[in-house]
Amino acid sequence: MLHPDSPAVVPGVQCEHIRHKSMYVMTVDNPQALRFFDPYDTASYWCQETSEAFGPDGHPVRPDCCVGGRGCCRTDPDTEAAPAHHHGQD
Amino acid sequence: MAEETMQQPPAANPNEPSANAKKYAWTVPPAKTAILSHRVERVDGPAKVSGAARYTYDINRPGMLWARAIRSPHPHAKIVEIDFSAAKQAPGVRGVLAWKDPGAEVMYQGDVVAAVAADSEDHARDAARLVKITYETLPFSVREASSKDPATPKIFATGNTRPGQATDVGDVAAAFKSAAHVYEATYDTQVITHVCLETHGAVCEWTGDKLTAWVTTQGVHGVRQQLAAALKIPEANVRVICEYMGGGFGSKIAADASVVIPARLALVTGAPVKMMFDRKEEHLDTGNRPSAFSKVRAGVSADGKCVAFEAETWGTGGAGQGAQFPLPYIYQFANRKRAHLDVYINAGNQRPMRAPGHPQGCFATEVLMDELADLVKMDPLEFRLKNLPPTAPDAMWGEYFKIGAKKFGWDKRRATGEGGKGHLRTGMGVSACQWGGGGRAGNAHVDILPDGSVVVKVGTQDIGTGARTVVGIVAADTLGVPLSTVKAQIGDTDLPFAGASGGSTTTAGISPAIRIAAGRAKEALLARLAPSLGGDASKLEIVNGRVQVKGGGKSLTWKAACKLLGQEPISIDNAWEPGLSSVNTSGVQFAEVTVDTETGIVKVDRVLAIQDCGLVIDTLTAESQVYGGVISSINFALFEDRLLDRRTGQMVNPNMEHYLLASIADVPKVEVMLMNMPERGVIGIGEPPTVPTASAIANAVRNATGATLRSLPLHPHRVLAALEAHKAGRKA
Amino acid sequence: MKAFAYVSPTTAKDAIAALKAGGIVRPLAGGQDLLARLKDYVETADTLVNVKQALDATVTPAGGGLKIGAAVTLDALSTNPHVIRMYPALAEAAAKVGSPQIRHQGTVGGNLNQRPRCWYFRQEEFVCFKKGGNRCFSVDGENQHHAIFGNDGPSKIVHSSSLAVPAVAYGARFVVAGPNGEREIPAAEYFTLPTMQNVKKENVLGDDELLTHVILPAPGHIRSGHYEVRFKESRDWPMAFATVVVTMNGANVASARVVLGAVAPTPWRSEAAERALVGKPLTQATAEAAAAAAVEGAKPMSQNAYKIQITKTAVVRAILEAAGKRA
Ligand SMILES: Cc1cc2nc3c(=O)[nH]c(=O)nc-3n(C[C@H](O)[C@H](O)[C@H](O)COP(=O)(O)OP(=O)(O)OC[C@H]3O[C@@H](n4cnc5c(N)ncnc54)[C@H](O)[C@@H]3O)c2cc1C
Ligand code: SF4
Repeated sequence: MLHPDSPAVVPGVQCEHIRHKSMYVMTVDNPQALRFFDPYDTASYWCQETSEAFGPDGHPVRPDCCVGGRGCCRTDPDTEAAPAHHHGQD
Repeated sequence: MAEETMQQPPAANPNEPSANAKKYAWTVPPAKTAILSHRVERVDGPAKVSGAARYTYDINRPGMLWARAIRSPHPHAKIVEIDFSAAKQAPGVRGVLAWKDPGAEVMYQGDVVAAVAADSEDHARDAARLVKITYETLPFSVREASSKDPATPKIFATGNTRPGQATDVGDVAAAFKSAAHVYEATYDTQVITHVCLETHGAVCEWTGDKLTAWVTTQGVHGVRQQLAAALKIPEANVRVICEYMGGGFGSKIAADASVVIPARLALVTGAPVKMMFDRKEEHLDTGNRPSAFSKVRAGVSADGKCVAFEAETWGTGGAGQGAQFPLPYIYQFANRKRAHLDVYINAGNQRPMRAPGHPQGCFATEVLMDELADLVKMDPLEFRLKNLPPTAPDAMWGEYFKIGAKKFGWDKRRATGEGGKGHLRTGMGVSACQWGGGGRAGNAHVDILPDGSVVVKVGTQDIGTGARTVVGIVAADTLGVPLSTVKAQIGDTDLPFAGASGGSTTTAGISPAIRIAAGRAKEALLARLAPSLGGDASKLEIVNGRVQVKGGGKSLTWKAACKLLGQEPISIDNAWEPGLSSVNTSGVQFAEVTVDTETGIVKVDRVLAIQDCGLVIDTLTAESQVYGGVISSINFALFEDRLLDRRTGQMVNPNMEHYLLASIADVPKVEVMLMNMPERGVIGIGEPPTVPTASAIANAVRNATGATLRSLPLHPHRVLAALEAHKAGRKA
Repeated sequence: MKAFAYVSPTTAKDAIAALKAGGIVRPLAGGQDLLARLKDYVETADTLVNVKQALDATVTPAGGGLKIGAAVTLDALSTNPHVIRMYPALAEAAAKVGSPQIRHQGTVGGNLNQRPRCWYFRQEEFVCFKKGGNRCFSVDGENQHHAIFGNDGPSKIVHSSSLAVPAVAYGARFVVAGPNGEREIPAAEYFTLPTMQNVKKENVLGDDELLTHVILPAPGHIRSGHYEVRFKESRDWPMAFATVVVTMNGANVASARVVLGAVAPTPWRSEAAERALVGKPLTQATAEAAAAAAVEGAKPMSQNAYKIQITKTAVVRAILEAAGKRA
């Protein structure tokens, strides 16, 4: 799926918890249209686990960060979601 | 009436029309339509002005509690301890929640740490102040320059900066060599916040394991998915409702703390919980438009062709988010090179804001264009015409510039700096914008009921654009009934799926589904009525609420006709299909200003906005989008500025007093020319009109005074400095 | 905001007595300033004494001048025909305040006694000198709106009352009532420059006193002009402004008062500008000379030097207005 405001998120590469606007705003593109400017990534990202722009580990949510190797990152759609991030409720 | 159907969209429409799209193609408006493309007042206008419309802020549930967040006063700190003991003893307190745990870091002033719920808003506020949080403060940066400085110690785990997407097209070095003029300048625009009149928030109520959430949001369905994920409950157990909402501008797509906190506290306390942010929280923690700095070198040929472009750009999207923007914007530089740096500072993170990136890129490019035009001694409009992409249905700038010049009186524009003799100088500027606006996510359900009611259900939401009215117009126009016959239902996840309202996609996303569903419903109705009206459904038509045989003969009122449905209504569902909507719009704007050279005050006298959006569904609400966009852009140009105290990292103007916004008297005469292009189908209009006004204003100031303003906002102190530099023959 | 007790006496005497209720007691007039401070936890109060019933809400002729009750609203002041005719600068200053809502609610007493609008003072987080702290955040912070005159003391605020400036220019006297009776204070002596001793206040009023009246002397043959440099058309504060009051001797100025606003912790009288006017005709050249004199000795902070130009403009335009030549 091509997300016009973020070409950077690729399912299976980035974590399944990463979110940005164009995942919820479905658009059509015109591949034949002339380009009126060069590509750029304007997206702001958040994490579905924390509802914030920082992940459970406190580091930013971004396509370059939310990839394999990060402890909280989930890329295999077959695994059940990780247990809820505990917010120390009272 | 024989429906005159449209030509299918020209090359610029990417959507190969479906069979249904061909069958239910739009009728040519407005001459051939009853209401489509006419000036239709909002169906919910009376409810809004009388106060009957209920926004999330107005939702109150029996036994409801109020939640209040506790936020970091520090721009960067480690949480050492959270002590709820005093807060729990406070009057009316029913529950507390740690949003972050000790050991975690807060990255900006306003970062949420914890929350409390109490039986009144006042009790919640008072109790929140009793939550004792111990911090260990950490080094911070609230200036792009300091984060960019390699000498600044690492503040952000992933580094203080990060390169963004780079461009390298053509042979830039050779192009600069060939250029007759090479020009260098630096442009910058400030961080501004969304300032939604209705602040972020939600009311959450559990019934057993089912959650109902009234949320002020741009996407009910998206919020349902996010809430379910955050709470680890089935999506089927969550219902999200947003009947009316007071503005989002991109900041209300995520289910953020303002939604998840009340949901959690409602679970903990066993009572419905309402949480609405206040203005300060909005400024600090619900998103913003990133800053944008562009150090540009541009080369132009002797005959005014832009040949070379090179830029170093940077900006901040807050404590970890990016700040990219398109550059150069629209105008064609065959050889170009750009490197971008995202710079992190300890301030709230950006969120999409009305045409993300475009106003920033537009400003740097459009001011540069005026400067280059002067270098080659060309009229700025002529110069633009020379450097635009080829004209196409989705690239109409050349045409619009010419139409606008005539309408605006561009021939009366004086040369740069010759805006008059006294202290009041007037000048004109222009600028262009581009946007996508091609939606594709809308499902519609149409019921024609035996008593004549028509119910249209679409799970979209009205973020202020008039979506409810659009739903009604498309259905009523297709069916041939008055608008008042149609009841539009939106803003609820119990309704058929529609995408979030962002990217100017709503109208293009929902209209095709409604058009086809209503068309099919009409067909089904006529088939059912045919036996009573001569037997041949293809000879029937519905005009102005009467079902009749074409060319005269038997006819029935809508009500009487529907009665014949007996006990079995017509009930049709349809998804979006390609061919009735399209993507990519263009627009231009002209501005005239008066500058008081003795005070540096800029007054915008008038603005002309020329904008297309494919097929105009409702001329009135489409124009409203342009008015709103222009006003927002005037605010960006003159007033808004998120100011962070250099020494403490705290925002000095988190209010609507020192964070300036135009008052009614500051809004000039705005003339809107909608370029209806029905042959292209529906395209969105929410974002493009807010892109170019600010640059047109800056260019008008330059035209009036000769002083170039390369930095927003145009606060008197900047204008006075630029005037002084101009007088001294310096570059500001 | 913290809960408080509320009393609403009907006489000035009872209101003054109520100020002694114990704890922190504050007079409440239109509430446009005080309630916002309480809501934002800039300060807290134990008791609020509503003074709108207790204080005079009329404008009455007195000794050839006017006696203005502290409970007169800004709207009533700005539309009062006597004020407009005799003290047009005062009427204009009142008419330009904030918004119609603020002018209908705000009072003369509340306006003159309002606390600073400094963005550090107005936020709980910043515990500055005025709130018992030990620094002024504007010094090495964001000071684009702060003082360019009188900023040697601990606090660099500008006085926020628009009425105070014409009041000083017209030579008004403030009637103040306390437990020991009334006293009259010339407007120019009412407002105080901050020192370490008095920094938590902007004037000489005691905690147990109320401002009850503003007395404007008989105008005689004065001419006055008033100019506010405002960025926004409403709901905003002037960036700098000036009131000029002159008497003429033929074509030349006999005496002059030039008072600047939004540039110092008090209304700022410029005797240098006054000297530049006396003996001269009211021309553009005189006005410019007086404006240059007015900003002599300004000491801008790191971000507010632009206010010098704006102040000059205000002075020139106020003088030209006094001359009947509106810019
Ligand atoms: C957006 C905005 C723009 C504004 N612009 C301007 C402007 O341009 N110029 C300007 O001058 N003002 C401006 N104001 C401020 C406004 O004019 C004042 O807040 C208002 O006049 C205060 O009057 P009040 O009666 O509401 O006072 P209150 O809020 O009731 O009281 C103000 C203070 O005075 C004290 N007080 C009240 N009455 C008396 C009395 N009789 N004796 C002693 N103490 C008393 C109170 O205890 C309190 O501390 C603006 C305000 C806002 C919000
Ligand atoms: S922060 Fe972690 S859990 Fe969240 S999206 Fe990124 S990698 Fe996934």
